[in-house]
Amino acid sequence: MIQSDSSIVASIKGTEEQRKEALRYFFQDMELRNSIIHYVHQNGGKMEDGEDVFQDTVILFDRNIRQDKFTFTCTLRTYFFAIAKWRWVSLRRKKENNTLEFKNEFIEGSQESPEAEVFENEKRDILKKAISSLGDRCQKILKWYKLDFSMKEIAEKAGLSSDQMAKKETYRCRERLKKVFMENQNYLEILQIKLPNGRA
Amino acid sequence: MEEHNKDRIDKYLLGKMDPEEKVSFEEELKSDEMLAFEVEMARLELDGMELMIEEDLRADMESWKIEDKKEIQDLKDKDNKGRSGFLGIILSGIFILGLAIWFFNREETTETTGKQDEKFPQKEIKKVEPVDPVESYDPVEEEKKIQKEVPKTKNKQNIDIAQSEEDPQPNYIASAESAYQMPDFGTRLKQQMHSEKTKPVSAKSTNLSGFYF
Repeated sequence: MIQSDSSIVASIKGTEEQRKEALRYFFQDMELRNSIIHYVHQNGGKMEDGEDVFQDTVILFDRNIRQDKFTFTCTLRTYFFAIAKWRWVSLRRKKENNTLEFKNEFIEGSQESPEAEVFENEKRDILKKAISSLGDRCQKILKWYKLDFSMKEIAEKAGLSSDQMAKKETYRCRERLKKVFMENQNYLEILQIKLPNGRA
Repeated sequence: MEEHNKDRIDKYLLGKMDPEEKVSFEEELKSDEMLAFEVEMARLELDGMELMIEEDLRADMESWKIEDKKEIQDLKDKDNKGRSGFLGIILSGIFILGLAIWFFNREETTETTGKQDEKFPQKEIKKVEPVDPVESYDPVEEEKKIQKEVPKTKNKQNIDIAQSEEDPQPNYIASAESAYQMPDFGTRLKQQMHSEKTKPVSAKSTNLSGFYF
């Protein structure tokens, strides 16, 4: 059973099963969910907006914990709620297309312009297309790699003989993804990535 | 070589470089166009990986939602089943009880019917054979019956009621006095009573109501 904030953080950074269990614990926290939905509702949003914000918060919360952005200066619930507030402000700004002042000490890059949002959406679409061109095995290996699994763990999960083999396989999958971007020059143009001189 | 470079780039992008290493790497980036391009490509790759994790988590949340709904539904069903089961038990209990009451009642009725038979044995019903009124009529016998009945009625009709000692006229006042001791209303009253006694009995004298009140 999950008890303390540190154990929750450890679980999110732990195995795939531990991570899912910890996130499900937050997802099923009805008190937290209702307080977020209530906050959104009180600040000009609908109940559906509140539900969307809650789900987005789970994703951002997971990412921030894995990237060591949570520094234990507050409780995890407070941190979760702060992410939700930031998320709603950013969504509301997008909807109303105006600027709202909101300072968030926990989240970096919370001040997003509408242009940045458009760019992020385009980037997201390109990434989705690129990923879908990979095979299921490569997708899994790259996901485990991003979840910071050790090469030994990846080898075990992928049924590879050694961690060296896992590293080679990971590298091969990354090269395949890179190739998708390289083969679609318009992707790079949209994403504003300039090719170095001598590479076309 | 490229693999080693990728490790370094990831270390930089994932914020795992120590500050000194980070500063020197950023200096390198400014001068090395190729390295800068590789960093951008690696950033895209990592973003792509993060997107896969996000998509997975969204799918998980959807399945958790469905599971939660299912669990709630199962709990409701279980509760309903429990209720209907309980209701079924109660109804079948009532049915069995009713059946038992009916069964014992039926037995008791049979027993009491048997006792009643012992107490009041059924009489044998005699069969009466139909008689033909024309064939059975004998005029001689009928005449004898009439002759026997006639004298009795004739005797009764000839009795003289005034001379008969069988049914004398009752003296009501005397019988009433013997049965009831009159209260003492004074000598005058007694005398009057006495004189009344001596008078011949008539229908009018039997009315004493006006005397007392």
